[in-house]
Amino acid sequence: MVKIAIICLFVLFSFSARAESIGVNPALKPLLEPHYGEVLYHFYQQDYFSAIVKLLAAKRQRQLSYHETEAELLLAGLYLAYGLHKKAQPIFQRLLQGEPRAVRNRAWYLLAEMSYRRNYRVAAEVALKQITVVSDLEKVGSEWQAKGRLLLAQIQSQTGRGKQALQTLSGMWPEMYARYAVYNRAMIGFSLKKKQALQQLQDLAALSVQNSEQTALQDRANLSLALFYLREKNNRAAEKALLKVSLTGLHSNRALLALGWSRLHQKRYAAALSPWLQLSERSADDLAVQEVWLAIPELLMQWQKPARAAEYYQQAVAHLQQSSEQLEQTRLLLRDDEWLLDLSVLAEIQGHYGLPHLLASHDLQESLWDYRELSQLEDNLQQWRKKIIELKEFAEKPAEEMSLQNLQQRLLSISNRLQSLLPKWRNYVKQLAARQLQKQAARLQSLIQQAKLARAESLERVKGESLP
Amino acid sequence: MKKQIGFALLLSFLLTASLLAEPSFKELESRTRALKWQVLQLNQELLQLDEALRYPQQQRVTVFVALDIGFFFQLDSVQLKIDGVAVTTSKYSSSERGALKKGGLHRLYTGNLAAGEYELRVIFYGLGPNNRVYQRAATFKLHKLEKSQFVKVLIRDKEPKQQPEFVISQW
Repeated sequence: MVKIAIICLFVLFSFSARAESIGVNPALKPLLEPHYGEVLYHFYQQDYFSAIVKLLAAKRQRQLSYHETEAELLLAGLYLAYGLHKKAQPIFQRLLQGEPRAVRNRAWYLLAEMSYRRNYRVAAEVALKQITVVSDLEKVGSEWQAKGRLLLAQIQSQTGRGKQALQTLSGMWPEMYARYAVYNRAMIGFSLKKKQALQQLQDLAALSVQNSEQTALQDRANLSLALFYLREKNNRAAEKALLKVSLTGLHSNRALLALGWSRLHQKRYAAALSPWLQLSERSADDLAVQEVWLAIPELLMQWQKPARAAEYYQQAVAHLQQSSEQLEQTRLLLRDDEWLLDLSVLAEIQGHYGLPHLLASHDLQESLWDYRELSQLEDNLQQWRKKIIELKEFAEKPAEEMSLQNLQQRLLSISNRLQSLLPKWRNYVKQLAARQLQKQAARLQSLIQQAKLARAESLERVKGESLP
Repeated sequence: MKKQIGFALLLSFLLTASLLAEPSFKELESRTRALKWQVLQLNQELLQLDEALRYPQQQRVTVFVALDIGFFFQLDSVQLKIDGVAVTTSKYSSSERGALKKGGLHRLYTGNLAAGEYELRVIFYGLGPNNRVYQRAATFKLHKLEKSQFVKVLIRDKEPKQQPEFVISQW
């Protein structure tokens, strides 16, 4: 029974997005208790707060017996989804004992992933330690163990434990995850075992690919190889690796930029210009595109074409200034509070320069999420504040009046603490956004200055050449 | 003495600095989590008390709406009448319809009824087969006892007739 519930819950925890749709399948078990069905009604609408409240109330009133175990697991899942992982962990610990290993592995991995997303690395590691040891009998381990080992190695590497990470990534892997393990091993191993890491990347880049995921990983391997070769001044090898990177993939911009450099270092100017001109037409939000605006005239200067270089520097200044102005617009729009609560306001300013980077920031997303949840709690308490006054008319016994009074006092106390916390979050999120935009603005200004100076130099060269 | 004043000044400076310092993300998050948990518990207790005060056990009747598959009927709204008096109407959004389809139960009505016989009439509005506007009603005789009772309003598909079916029963 628990297994079924966990299989259902697993979909809940596939957090590629936090509010992803959830797929408990009620057909697996007939619904016998209406209160559990009511919890599911909220749960399916991703209204986790109401689902938890209803579930806690039903549990307390002993309205769940037939659905008790799955309700407990659902509660653990809801706690996780609502950011209360510490409440979820003991439930998992208790209910998973005696369950088949596959079920436990899945649940622990999901708990770890959620903890990691919330930046609780120690908690994530504790959960992962429950599943990542692969016994000799298991040989390669399950899908969830593989995912767990990848995540554990990532945490170990991020916390300066490269050797431990390499150890975690060693051994056999299920086929689906083997390439990721090799890639991660190579990336972590570059500072420890360079020769071996290089060989691993070369092997990975040489494998045939069967799907888009494998293509993306191969692109990453080729790009990493090329960057390594470029550092080693092996430009031909870098070029060879870069030519294998897909032109439309996630890594294509950086690959085009690197391809230009590898050819420029070989003084093959026309060949270098081709990928750079292609890259310069792409979205200005990508740092590689901004870099290429300055790289093109630099190439032209080396090619002894200072007049054309001056033109391109002028264009670069114009592009960068336009980006800078758009960034300022974004900054002004984000000064208001409206966007903090209303996503549609953000959607309206999507076109503005700087926003995609800002919104992609994990820190900003997490902070915004917390702020919004807190604001919703404030609304909830406001509603109860009114309802309690109405409820007083129904209270006939002194005990009921006393309970209401106690609850009202608690509500006021919580409400006060919430009121004092909300502006702190607001400031935090806005300062975080402002700091990130400031960094972008400083970067743009620095590029503009570089472009202006370089343009002046190129114009000097033009003058010098025109003198008899 | 000078040393003491210097130390006191340093201490007061540090104290002021710590009071003025912006809280970190971890600090804010930890306080937020604590508040979330307190609000959840408070809501649960308020919900229980609210229900107990407004709807005493002996009189309480709760009506739930359930949907089984729902291939032949797209629910738009439901109206409940008790002994001919409309007591509630509920309109369903697509996410609510989705939740019903997956097996969730919607609490349509909670009210008080003294022991006795009642006629519950539920009117369903929506789109029927071939996307035609569809309205049906179903009736149920409720024998209310002196205890809390649940009524289930089920919308399900009737395969042979390719029509929806509306069934009301006591839980």
